[in-house]
Amino acid sequence: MTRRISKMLIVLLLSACLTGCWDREYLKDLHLAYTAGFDLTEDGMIKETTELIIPPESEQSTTKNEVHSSVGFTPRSASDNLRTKVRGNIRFNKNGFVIIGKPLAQKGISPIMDVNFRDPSNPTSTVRLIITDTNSSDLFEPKMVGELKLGEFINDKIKSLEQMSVFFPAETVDTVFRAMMDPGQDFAVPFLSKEGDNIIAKGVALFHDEYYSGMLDYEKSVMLVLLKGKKGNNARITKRVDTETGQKDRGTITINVGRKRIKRKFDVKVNDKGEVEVDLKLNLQAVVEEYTGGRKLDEPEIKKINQDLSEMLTKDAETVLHEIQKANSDVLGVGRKLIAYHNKEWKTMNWSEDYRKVRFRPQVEVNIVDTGILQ
Amino acid sequence: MTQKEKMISRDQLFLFIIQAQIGVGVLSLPYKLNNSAKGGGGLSVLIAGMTTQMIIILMWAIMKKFPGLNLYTICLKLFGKFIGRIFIIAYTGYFVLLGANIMLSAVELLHRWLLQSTPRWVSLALFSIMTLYLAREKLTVLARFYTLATFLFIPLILLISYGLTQAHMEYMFPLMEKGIVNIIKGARETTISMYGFELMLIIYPFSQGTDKQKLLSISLANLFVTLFYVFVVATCLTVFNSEQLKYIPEPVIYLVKSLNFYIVDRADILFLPIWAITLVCSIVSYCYGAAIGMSILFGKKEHKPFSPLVKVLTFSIALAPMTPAAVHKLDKISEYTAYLFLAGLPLIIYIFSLFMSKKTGDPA
Repeated sequence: MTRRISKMLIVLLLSACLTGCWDREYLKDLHLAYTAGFDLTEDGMIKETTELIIPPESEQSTTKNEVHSSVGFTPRSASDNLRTKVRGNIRFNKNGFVIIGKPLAQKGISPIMDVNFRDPSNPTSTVRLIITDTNSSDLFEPKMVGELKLGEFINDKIKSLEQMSVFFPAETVDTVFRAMMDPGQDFAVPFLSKEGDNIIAKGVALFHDEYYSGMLDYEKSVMLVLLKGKKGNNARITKRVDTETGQKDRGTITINVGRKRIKRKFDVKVNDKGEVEVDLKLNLQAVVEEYTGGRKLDEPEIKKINQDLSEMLTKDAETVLHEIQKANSDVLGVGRKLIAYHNKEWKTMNWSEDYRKVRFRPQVEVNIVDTGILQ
Repeated sequence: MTQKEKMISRDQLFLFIIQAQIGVGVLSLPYKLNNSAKGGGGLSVLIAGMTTQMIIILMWAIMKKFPGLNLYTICLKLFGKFIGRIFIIAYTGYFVLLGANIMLSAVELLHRWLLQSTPRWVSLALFSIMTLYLAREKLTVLARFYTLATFLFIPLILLISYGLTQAHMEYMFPLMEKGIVNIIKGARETTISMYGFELMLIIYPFSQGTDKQKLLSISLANLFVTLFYVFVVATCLTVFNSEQLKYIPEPVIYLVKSLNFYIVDRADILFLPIWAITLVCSIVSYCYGAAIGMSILFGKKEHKPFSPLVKVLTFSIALAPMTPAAVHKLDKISEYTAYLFLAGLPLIIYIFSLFMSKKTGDPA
């Protein structure tokens, strides 16, 4: 009997050692940061603006958000300074967006992103990178947009625009990390700006290496996505066509090329003179969603419209390619192809300069395959 | 020693070798290979697999000559009591060192990724206690546990394959960018992640089947491990580009971390505990080998009483290095001793055994 009791005692004593784990964190003690913005202050410090989600005081009420900002040498030190201002601890486990102001992005985003890559508790695969026209802290100004909290609003906006092929495929911290390190690939991320009280998606911000180097407007962003051979659920293009008079001033057509498969041919060649030539062929299958030309879309009509659209979109593609070359942003990954298949030539190149000399030959072909329930 | 109940089946031999081989090394293998062979990393692994196979055949040749004997008893028979014992001590020390090294790497890994505020000695102690339970058991118990643990490869492989959704084949090209020399260099580094198969020297006499069948089982295990490594390396080399890989010492976990599906935000938290069980198998195998060595050294029949001693030794070795530099040093030491004990000593034993058979005319 005494043996049994002593055994019981040992078990009880031992179980006192099993109080749990060092690495626990209770959600109720934490403040989750949903959105984080980074800017450069005048004296070269990093200013971090964060949207925090405050747990509700009683069970019935909803969560509230607060916006705080702080300054530090690095994002981590700024976050630490932020911790002195708010009650409770801040965690970025649920962070959805890293927003960087253009002035800072021009100086390079790699120092800002480092903590995201390095600390395993920071999420990467769901965090999207966003660039704003002015300082990112401006975006945080009214912390509610209508009924929505700022982070939710941006989330809805970005996700729906991704489905509309304005930003696609979604550039997350992971993909940005990959492209930033890759000598033969650059990236483009959503570009937001503030107009009055509205947050407007202006298009995409182009990057060269880790530096902001230019932007494309909304329509060109869609074109860029198509040139990558990607698309969301929808990809709408609106053009004015008039097949009868030949003057493109009457009759507007909206086509959706996101419904069907895109065929893309991307050929990177190096010619005898050592110049890089890129043949980029796109075959888009379009669904007509709106046509105000007032004519029946029968076969000869469609043929004419196809031709017009192909011409116009090829021209658009040229403009887009010209602009990304001007921004020195190899979004399409021409360099990657060179590394993989023309390695000898690649080694003699200075891609930061030679990318601008690449000759692109885009060719877009549009085929209307569906005219909706009207003909 | 050759009682029927102690024998493991051929399938168990196959799984035993797999579990002993797949350890912590593969998690950082793509990183190492990227530094030496770049896109040709997959080829390096294949070369390493072939090298391993040759060593396996060498070891098999030794074991075939002495049916019913294991490494230690062979040493005693070949070199006599004194030198034979030195060999036993050396091999036991090697197994202890490797067990400690794997345990340390495993704990380091878990601390970097998961348990950032847990003191290191706690995890080391937990690992030691956990592995002690197995290492003191009979070989059949080990084999059964390894068989169960093998099912865990399924989620591991699935998780890694999910990374293929983000793969860019072009990252791997050009395959031969760094040239043959560097690919072979990469193969040398891979061999280090392959070790574990040398435990066949211990368990060979305890498994059923003819010599040929046993060789087949072990070779198949090696083939499986090689292919698994090729798959892992190729996946990582296509998901990350080589510039990026230079900064990621554990690309496999980094890859898994960047996956998210449905409610799982960080898949690495699922991945690591499952992987830890595979690591336990490797650690246990080495400790078992070391304990057997000690039991023969002291002329005891059971290895059970020696397991705690082995665990204390591995625990203290693993606790010693504090800085990353020291950890790296231990890694290097294990690497070079592995060369000696994987290829050097078996070769010597083999050559000696040739003389022996001439003299005595009867190898057994």
